[in-house]
Amino acid sequence: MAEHIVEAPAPGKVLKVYAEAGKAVAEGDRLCVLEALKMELPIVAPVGGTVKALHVAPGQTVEAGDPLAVIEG
Amino acid sequence: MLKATWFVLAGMAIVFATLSVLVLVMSALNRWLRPGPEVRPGAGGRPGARHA
Amino acid sequence: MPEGELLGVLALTWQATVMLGIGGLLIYLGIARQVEPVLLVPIGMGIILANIPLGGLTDADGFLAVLKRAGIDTELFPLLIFIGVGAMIDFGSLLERPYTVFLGAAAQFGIFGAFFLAYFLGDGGLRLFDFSFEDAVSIGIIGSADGPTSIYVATVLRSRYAPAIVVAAYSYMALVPIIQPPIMRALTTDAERRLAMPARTQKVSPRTRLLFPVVTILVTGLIAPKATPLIGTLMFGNLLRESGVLERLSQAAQNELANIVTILLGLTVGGMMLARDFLQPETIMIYVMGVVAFAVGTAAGVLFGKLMYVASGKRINPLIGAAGISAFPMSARVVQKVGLEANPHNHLIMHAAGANTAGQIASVVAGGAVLALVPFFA
Repeated sequence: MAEHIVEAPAPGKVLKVYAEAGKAVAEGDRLCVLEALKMELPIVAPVGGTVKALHVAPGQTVEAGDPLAVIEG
Repeated sequence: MLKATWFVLAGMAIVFATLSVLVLVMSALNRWLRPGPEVRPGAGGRPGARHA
Repeated sequence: MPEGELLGVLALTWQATVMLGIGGLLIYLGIARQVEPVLLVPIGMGIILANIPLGGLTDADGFLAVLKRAGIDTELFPLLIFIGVGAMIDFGSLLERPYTVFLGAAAQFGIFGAFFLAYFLGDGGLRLFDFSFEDAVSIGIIGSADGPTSIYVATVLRSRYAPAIVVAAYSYMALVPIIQPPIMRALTTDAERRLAMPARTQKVSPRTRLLFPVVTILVTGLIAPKATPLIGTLMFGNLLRESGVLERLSQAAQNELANIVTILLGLTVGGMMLARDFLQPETIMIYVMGVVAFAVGTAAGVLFGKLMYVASGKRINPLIGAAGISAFPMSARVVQKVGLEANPHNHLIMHAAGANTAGQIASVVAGGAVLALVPFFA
């Protein structure tokens, strides 16, 4: 069981969060949507598995490289 | 048209030369201006010692 | 009042009618289709005002003529706009990824490619169109994908096609999402487009950000002095932004100054489009050359990106080269979209923004370079 840390690709604001801690996700499922340079960036799960931790909430600002979620799969 | 070819080459040369110098200067400055704490631990505890 | 100056309808020529139609079309595109409304609506209205017969707005002391003398002939308007543009741009994405500067430089080949073709069709070769060396350079500068730079260079070179060049430059900026993607896909392989780049970068110190505008003025000014007015105003605006103590002035430059000058510049440029100068085969050719300029610039940026892809050991996605044409921030968004299509984990936006802001500086340097070189070649 490997842990995958999903990182923010760009500095910006979290618009929506779809993932829930403890729930299962499939590869390619949307975890959340970030806004950077007035563009919406959909963040999708890199692997299928369980969302072990969720570090963001809507409205929060993040820096590039900040962990958004941890997926165990 | 030979004239136009030289014009194109000279123009692109100026663009690349200017931006190369700019990148070199900015990289040097960025290294030089790196915020203190990262550099200081190795430089001994005494304030001002680095400038002596 | 002399006879014939009473009713404008009687003095209306078919050429003026066409121009009124073009003005109306630009206003329609701006409002109904949201194509660069900030520019196309004032330009469209300027065209209508200038082409109403006997209106007198472009006569010696007419409203539009006075604006032209004060703001365009003196090159004042584009420079004032640049103070606002400089205050709007965050060069952080460029400073964190210094290598993107070369993508901005490479994409300026669009300027020179379009120049070469325009000169070949004009005085340099086929003589099909009335394009002098200076006109060809002014047409090429559409490839800077930057309105103020285009109008500055075209007026300094005294090209009579300046209005068409400016309108072409602004219209193609709105068309960047249509022009760029096919070229980007044609020149890259799927594996190249799928390449994701790391989000984390080296941090840039606030002092570096502060020094950047000043250093850029000095370096550019000392190598390509003719670029000093443009780079000077652009970087002065950026210094207002980065200084941290001039928030009021920075906001004024981004909002009040930029907005007021945009109104005046748009109206004036529209007012320069009189039927007798505009309705010529050369104008259509300028529009064709504009597409060439944007396409060649995009291709040059992507090809240079491929070179960096190989040189970096497959760590740089060549797509970001397309953002090297300035067109800020449209082309950065296009890169993000095309990258995401190939790989849903591939967010290139910040890397593209680096190349994009580099392209902004590179296009100004290219403008200065051609102004310096023209006296030696023309």
